[in-house]
Amino acid sequence: MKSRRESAVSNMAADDKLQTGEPLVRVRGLCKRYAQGRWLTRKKFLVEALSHVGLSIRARSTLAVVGESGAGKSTLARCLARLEEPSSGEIWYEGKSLLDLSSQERFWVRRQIQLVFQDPTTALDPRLSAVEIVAEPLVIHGEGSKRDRRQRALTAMEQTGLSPQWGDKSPLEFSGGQRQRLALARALVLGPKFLILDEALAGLDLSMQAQMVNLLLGIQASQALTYLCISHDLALVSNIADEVAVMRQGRIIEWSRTSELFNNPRHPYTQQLIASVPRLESTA
Amino acid sequence: MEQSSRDPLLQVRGLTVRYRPEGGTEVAAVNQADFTIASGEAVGLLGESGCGKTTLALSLLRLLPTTICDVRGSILLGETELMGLGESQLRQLRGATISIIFQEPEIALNPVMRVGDQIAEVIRAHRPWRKRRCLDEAGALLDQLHFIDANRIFNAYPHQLSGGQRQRAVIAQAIACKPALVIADEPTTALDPTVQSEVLTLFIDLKERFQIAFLFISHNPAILAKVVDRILVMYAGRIVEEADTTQILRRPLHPYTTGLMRCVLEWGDEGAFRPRRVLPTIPGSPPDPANLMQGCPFEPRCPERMEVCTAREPQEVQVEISQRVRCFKYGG
Amino acid sequence: MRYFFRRLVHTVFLLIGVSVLSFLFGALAPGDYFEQMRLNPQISQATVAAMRSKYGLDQRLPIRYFHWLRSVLHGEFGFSFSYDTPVAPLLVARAKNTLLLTATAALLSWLVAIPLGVWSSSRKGKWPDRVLTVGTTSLLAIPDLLLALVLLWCALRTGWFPTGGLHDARFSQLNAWKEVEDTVAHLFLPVMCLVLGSLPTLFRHIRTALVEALDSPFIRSARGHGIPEGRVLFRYALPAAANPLISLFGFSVGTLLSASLLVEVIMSWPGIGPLLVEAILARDIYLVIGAVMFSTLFLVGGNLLADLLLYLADPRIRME
Repeated sequence: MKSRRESAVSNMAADDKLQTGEPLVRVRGLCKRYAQGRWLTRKKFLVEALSHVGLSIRARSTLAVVGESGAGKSTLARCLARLEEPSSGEIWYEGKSLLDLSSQERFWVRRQIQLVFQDPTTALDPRLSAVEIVAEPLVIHGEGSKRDRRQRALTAMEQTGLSPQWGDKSPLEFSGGQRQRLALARALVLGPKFLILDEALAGLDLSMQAQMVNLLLGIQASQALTYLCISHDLALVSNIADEVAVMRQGRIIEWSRTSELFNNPRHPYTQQLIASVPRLESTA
Repeated sequence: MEQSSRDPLLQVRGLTVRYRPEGGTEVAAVNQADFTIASGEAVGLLGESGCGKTTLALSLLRLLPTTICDVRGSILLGETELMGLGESQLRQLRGATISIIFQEPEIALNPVMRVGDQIAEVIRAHRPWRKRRCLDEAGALLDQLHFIDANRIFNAYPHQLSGGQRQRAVIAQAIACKPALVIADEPTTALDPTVQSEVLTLFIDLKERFQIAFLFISHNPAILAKVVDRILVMYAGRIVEEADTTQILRRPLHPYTTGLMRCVLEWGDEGAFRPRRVLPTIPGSPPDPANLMQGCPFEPRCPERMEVCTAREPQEVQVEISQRVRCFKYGG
Repeated sequence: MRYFFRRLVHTVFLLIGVSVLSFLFGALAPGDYFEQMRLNPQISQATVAAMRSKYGLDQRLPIRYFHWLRSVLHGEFGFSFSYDTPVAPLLVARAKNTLLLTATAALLSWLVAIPLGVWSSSRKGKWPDRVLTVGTTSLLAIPDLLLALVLLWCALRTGWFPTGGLHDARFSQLNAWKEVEDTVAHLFLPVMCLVLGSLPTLFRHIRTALVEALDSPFIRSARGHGIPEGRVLFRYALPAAANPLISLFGFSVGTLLSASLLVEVIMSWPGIGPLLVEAILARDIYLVIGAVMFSTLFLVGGNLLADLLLYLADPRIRME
């Protein structure tokens, strides 16, 4: 006799017949408005964090969303990860709308879509050991025995290049790059299909960034993952993304394949962004 | 690079900074650093996190707490030996002769004081002028820094400004008394790309206009390439290579520098985009300064390591007139 | 400013609520003012009953409350049986003394605690800091009662300070300057007691807030710019640390009031304290309610003042 949750899961899994190349995630007309303003006066400032955003991400591909601070990239990420409710619009995941789900379906979605944030120091609980941190999602979703969970957590750590011997150490003993790997391991432990990286590589040293990029590409191939990579660093994005969408003030102003965008940027803002990336030519 | 035509402004010899953390082993965050900065010259310090660059910067201003840090060596500013000065004499130099800009502008500004007042405070600390005059000077400074609405910025509080505006306010504070040397510790790291390039242009402009010498610290060689004339490469507390910017870009000597240059994610020639590929990296991670083994600190990650690299540390070798390196490949 | 208007409205509702609760609790306690009389065999039951109904004590609670409200609107705040006068003038006279005592104590304790806290935080870990911390902790451990008695004993032995009351017997004969002198002499002991009682808490909070502020990057920046240390402490660190301290100020007003109750009784200071104690013991219900309302007003006023100061001091709150 299946539990209700198990039935819901298997129902959803039955829709999982998408092949490589079909859009895994689709967004249409997404809007998010914040009201800011004084209480009793009529004047209310409506801040449009997202304004009619439309995207689609093919399975097993990487879409990068670039833009400056305040462009709305993080808001988009949070809406997709269902941490925030959009004011209007549609979000489709594997052909199912993410916006009106039952609570069991919502639970299932959390296993499919995971988020890695920018600052690993604040995202990791310093009172837990590394393996406990990675195993936490398993605990929340009630999976397996304690030993299974530990084993799965250590496997996830190995996948991200961390030695299992470090499992019992506190995250404070890890360097910045290693902490980010830990955060990544935690995101991977449930076996998600869609990973949202919100400035996950910002603040890392260059050699660490390069290592992480290689790691992410490797994991994407081996686990058939789809990435949404949010960054303000165009150089980084050029190496990891299949398609790039440029955001400004809540709107997507340009969206094309990476090579197309870098070789032939159409919007003047995109051109400006590309021009501002420091290159390794000496001008001194 | 005619270094001989400029007077040396800062001469650092044998600078060593040891940390004594509570209950831990002594750690040398900076080890025997030797370098010279001429007046009006822009020098870059290239290194990754944990290499000791911020410690070096703080030690130049003697800002490290004496209870936990032990600083040895010689720091000669013009004719004055900074190591022998007392706290009040140092305070006269800080902000007026040597200034420092820290990494994150949001937290470098006093949240409950207006920006204009904060800049005026620095002026007031070093000039015997009345408050009104200091405020006027601060206003004039903001005008010179290409602020579009300098008046609003002057009267605003830090939290009302954008990241780029805050960083420029911090820069205004640093140059308020027209110092001879400004140390900038990763000043553009926390900024958006377009703002970043504006701030870098500002630095170049300031160097030209006021003849200020810069020590520009960054982990990104591409940023340094835009701004500085000479680069010092730092690894595990040691300066492992020093050369002119053009030399380093064309022919980096130290294997670490070579590796780092390759890590800069770049496009191909003529701006043509290169498709996704496996990136060259430096394997492993920077060493823990508390656990350094004998020999060259880069040896565990070095693709060109030799027998002698584990035996002892390499000495400095002058490869060309303006290029020095600490690596057994070239002798040492 | 709308915010403060809302707070004022809120305060009025709060006061009404407090008055209702006081009434209820007063009614819950068995007996009333005339209980004593009833026990006296010489007074007949009929007389007691007549007195009760004269003062309306036999009516039902809501009606009594309504009458009391009316009295409040007339500025009388009910009637005191012990003193045979309306409550308001009694309270006002005593309230002035309590305010004098509490305000002086609050001012003095903060004036002493701030420099001590700032100095201690700048010498963190060194011996002045350690001495002060240990000293204030010990002071914290001493109960107010003991402090008051010790101070009284000192006064008795040395004869330097009067041991109670507000004014000398010959007060009305003194000239203006001597009046002030006399008042100060009488104020000294109770204020000292209150200050010593509240100093440890204030000191520790100030020290902690400053130590935290001194760790901030902008302090390092300021030092890096060569700003003199004194200015760094008072013009940079202290304002940044002010937020929790201003909230503490509002809170400390409340605690000071409670402490002053005890101190007034012991040192015979003619404030609300002794009046309240008497009234409770005698079941002088309207006087009790009046005193409670005053205390509430004082407390709320202190917090409101703290909020106003916070608004003025922190631009980030102002810009909200």
